[in-house]
Amino acid sequence: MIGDDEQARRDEAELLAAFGADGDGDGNGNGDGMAGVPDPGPEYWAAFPSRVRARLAPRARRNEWLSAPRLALAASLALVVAVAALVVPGDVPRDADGESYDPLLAAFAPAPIDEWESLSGLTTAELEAMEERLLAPATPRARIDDLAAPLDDALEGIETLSDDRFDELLKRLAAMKT
Amino acid sequence: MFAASPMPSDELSWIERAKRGDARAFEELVRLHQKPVYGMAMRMLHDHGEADEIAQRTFLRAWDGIGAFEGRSSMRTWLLTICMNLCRNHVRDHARFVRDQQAHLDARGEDAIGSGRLEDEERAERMRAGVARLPERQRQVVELRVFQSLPFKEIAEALGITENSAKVSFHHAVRSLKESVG
Repeated sequence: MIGDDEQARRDEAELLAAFGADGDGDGNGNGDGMAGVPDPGPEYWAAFPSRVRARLAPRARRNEWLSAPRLALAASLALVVAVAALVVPGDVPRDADGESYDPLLAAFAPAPIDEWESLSGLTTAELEAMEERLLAPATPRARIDDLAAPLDDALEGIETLSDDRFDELLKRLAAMKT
Repeated sequence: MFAASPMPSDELSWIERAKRGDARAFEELVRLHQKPVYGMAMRMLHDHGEADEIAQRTFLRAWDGIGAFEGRSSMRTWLLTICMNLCRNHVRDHARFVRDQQAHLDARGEDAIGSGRLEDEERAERMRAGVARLPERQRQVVELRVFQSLPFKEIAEALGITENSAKVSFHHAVRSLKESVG
């Protein structure tokens, strides 16, 4: 009967005989799979894995980068956004003048733009004083949490981004830095 | 004879390490499976350069997708499935090239007969040309069964068909080859 094991074995034996071969392996996928084709030789086989590895290297590095804990990456991104907002205030997303408004960046900016603008106007001494106050034991924990809340929201937003949106955000951040 | 063989423990270890991003472990997998992958590409494309490129791309794609490899079939079957799909796409994109190759194969078959080689060689050559003319599904089953020596169960998994359907396709392929080769 067509489709039974016995018939398949007979068919296989006939075919192998017709190819002038005695089978490639044990029927369990353990042959070398080279029956019927010219062997390119030992040098080719010795070099093949290295050639694959050479083409693999950029992918391996990319995968390593992508497999970094997303939270750490998100924190780094938030920091980049924060630094960019302070250092290049003209390039941060704006919703008022419309010149460089970017809805994607605006959605994930770690704090309202106005807050960053006011921070960017502070002198170094004022910033240090603010830091001291925030870190002082006397500062109520709730107050610190309040101040950090916008950053948490941004981190959570980045955590839930799809890969496409995440890649897009990375590109835009890179462009912003240049 | 038709049962799937278990993967060697070394291979399992390399797979697990490769899944965690270990390129060295993946290189061992390449070394282990490079011949069957290249062999399949060569038989389907009949050109060393093209087969070499497809074989490399098979492993690159495997690296990208190894996280999704669940071990339901053997690594070899999984790689051959990737390779077969790449070959199929290549054939589709280079239809004229393949027709030329077919003509080349036919000519080689004629030459073999004309030059008075041993009868077995002539027959094998004509069989190879006959396999190239089979319908795609039958050719795939013959490739995986005869040249890669895979069990029908794994052939069925690789092609997304039932085991019986794989055996029936194989039977029809043999019948067609007998008729065409004589």
